[in-house]
Amino acid sequence: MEELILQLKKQIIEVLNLEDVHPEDIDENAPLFGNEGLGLDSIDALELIVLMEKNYGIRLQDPNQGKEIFKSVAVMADYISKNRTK
Amino acid sequence: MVIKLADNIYSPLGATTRANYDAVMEGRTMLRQYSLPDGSLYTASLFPEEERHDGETYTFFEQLCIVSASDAIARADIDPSSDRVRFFLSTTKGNVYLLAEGKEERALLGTSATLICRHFGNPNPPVVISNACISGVSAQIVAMRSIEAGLCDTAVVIGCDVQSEFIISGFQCLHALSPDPCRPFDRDRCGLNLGEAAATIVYSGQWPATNGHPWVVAAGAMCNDANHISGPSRTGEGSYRCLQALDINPSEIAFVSVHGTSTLYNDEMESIALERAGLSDVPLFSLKGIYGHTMGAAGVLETILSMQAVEHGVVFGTRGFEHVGVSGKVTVSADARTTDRHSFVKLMSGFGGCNAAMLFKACPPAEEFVTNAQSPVSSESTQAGSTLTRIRLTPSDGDLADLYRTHVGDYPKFFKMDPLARLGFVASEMLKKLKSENMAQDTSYGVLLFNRSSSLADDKAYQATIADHANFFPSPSLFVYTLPNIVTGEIAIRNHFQTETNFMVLDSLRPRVIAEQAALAAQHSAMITGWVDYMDDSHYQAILLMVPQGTAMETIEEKINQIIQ
Repeated sequence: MEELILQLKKQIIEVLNLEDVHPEDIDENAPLFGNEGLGLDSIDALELIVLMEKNYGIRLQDPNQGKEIFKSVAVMADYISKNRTK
Repeated sequence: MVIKLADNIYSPLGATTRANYDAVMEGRTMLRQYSLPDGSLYTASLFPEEERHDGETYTFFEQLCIVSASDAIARADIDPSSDRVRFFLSTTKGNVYLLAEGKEERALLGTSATLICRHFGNPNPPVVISNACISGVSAQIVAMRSIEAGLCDTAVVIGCDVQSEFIISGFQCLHALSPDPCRPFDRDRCGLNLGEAAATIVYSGQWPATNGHPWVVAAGAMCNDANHISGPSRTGEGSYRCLQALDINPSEIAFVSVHGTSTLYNDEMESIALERAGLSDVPLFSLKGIYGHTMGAAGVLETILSMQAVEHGVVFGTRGFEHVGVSGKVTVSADARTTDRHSFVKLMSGFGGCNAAMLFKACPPAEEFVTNAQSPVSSESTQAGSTLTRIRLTPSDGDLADLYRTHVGDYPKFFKMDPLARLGFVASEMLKKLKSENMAQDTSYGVLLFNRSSSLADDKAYQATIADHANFFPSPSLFVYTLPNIVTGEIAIRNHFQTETNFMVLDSLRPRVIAEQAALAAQHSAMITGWVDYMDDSHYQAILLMVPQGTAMETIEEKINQIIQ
C-alpha cells in the first residue's frame, strides 16, 4: 500500500502539473479538493478519472463517484487496490 | 442603426432558412446516436456521411461557409467584392480535424477565412471571432459596431463548426455529453448533444430597398463571469450583466432564445440570470433539442430562427423539456405558442467564462426611422493615447515560467495553464506593473486579444491524447484550453474583470485591424488588448497594450507599429 500511495502521489503531481510540489509534501490523509490541502478543482477531478482508467483500468461511469473516491490519496489508493484491473 | 438584409441556415435539416424553420415547426431533428472509439455513446446532429468530404480547394467546413454565405449574399443583393463589405467568421475549431493528418497550416482559422473571403472576391482582411460558444453573438456585436463606426457599409457574419473526433472526445472527457437526445432545462437533463451547421446574416447600415421583414439590432453586450474557465457563475453574473446592459422592457419581448445546452450547470445559471434580470415571465426556449450545440454557428443560427419565429407570430417549444429542473424562476416554453410581440433576446454563454446577449427588434415601417449619424472611430483623439502602456514578450525574454516566478509568483494556477494562456497571463501581469499613473485606478478593464495560431500548441497536445485508438485517453485539462479565448478568461479571473472579453484570429499580425476593433470594443475605462500568439516554445510573441477608453484608432495602430519595428 505504501508503494501504491507513493506511486499515486507521483502520478497526481505529473498529470495535474503541480509545480514545486513533491510526494512528501502531500499528506495522504488530507482532502484533495476544497481550500485545504492541494485545493484541486473540477477539471482536476476529471483528470483524476482519466488517471484511474489509464493506469489502473478503473472506469468511473458517473463523475459523482469521484467525490467519495478522491477524498484523499489514501482513500484513492484503497479504492484502486480493491478495483484495479491492471 | 444596423439592419438585417438577409440570412441563410445550412444545416442537416435543410439548406435554407425557410427549410429549417419548417423543420423546427414540424418537430424534425437529425439528432442520432453514434459511438466513440472507446465505445462511449453520444447523440449529435450531423450531415450525412456522403456529404462530408474535403474538396481540392475547400474543406467541408469551408464549403458549408461558402454555400451558406452565397445564399445570404444573393438574397441581400450586395456585391461581396466591394471594399465596403467586411466578412466576420464565427467558429471555434474550423478545420481542426486536419491536425490528425499533420496539416497544421491548413487547420489554421485564418487560412479558412482567407479562402472564404477570396472566394467572394472581398479585398478586406477577414476577421475570425473565436470566443467559445458565444462566438456567433460576439461576431454579430463586432459587425454591428463596425457598421455603426463606418468601417464598412455591409457586414457578412458567417457562423460555422463541423464535428470531429477531436471535439466530441473532448466534450466526452469533460462528461458534458448526453448519450441520448438532450433535455434543456429539464430535471432529468444530463448533458449536451453536439451539432454542425453553417449560418449567415448580412447586416447593413443602409435601409434596404426591398425587404419584407426588416430587423434592427437594438443592442448587444458581452460580459465575463471572472469565475472559472469551464464552469459558469453560480449567480449567473456575466449573463445577468449582459441582460441588464440591453435595457429590456419585458412587456415588449416575445421570448428569450436561451443557450440551453442541457448541461446541469448552464441551464441552472441561465435561469438565475434571467430571474435576476426580471425576465421570469418572458417565455424562453432552447433549440438544442433539435440542432444540438452547433458551437460557432449557434449564435447566428439561433438568432435567425428566432427572427423567423417572431415573423410567424410563434414562440418555439423546447424539444426534450418536460419538468422544470432549474432553481431560477423562469417560464420555459415547452410547446410552441403564439405571440404578437416584435422583439426578442438572444442569450449565450461559453467556456472562458464569457457571456453575451443581444436585443433584436422587428422594424416598424421605414419612414419612422431616423438613421443615426455615423461616427467614425478615428475622429476622436485623446491625449491618453500618447502614453499607452505596452509590453512585448518573445522567447528572447526568457522562459515563461521563470518570468512568472520573477514577476508574479503568487498564482500557482499559472502552472495549469496551456502555453498560450501562460504567455497572455504573464504579459498581462507585467503590463499591469508598467501601468502609467494617469490610467484609471478602477479594475474594469475589458480584454480583447488577437493571434494567428489560435490554440494550435494545445490543439496538438490534445490531439496526441486521442491519436491512438488503442490507447485512447482524451485529456480534459488539455481540452478546455483548445479554445483561444481561455486566455482572456484566465486574465479576467485573475483580476476579477467582470467585463467584455473577446478573442479574434487573423491571417497575420495586422496592426490596423487590431486597432480598429480595440477602439470599437473600449466599453470600459480601459482595454487590455493586443497580440498573443504561441506556436511552440521557440516561436511566440505577445504585444499587449493598455488602451484607455476614447483612444483613437490611429494612436493604437501607430503604437503597435512602433513596437514591432
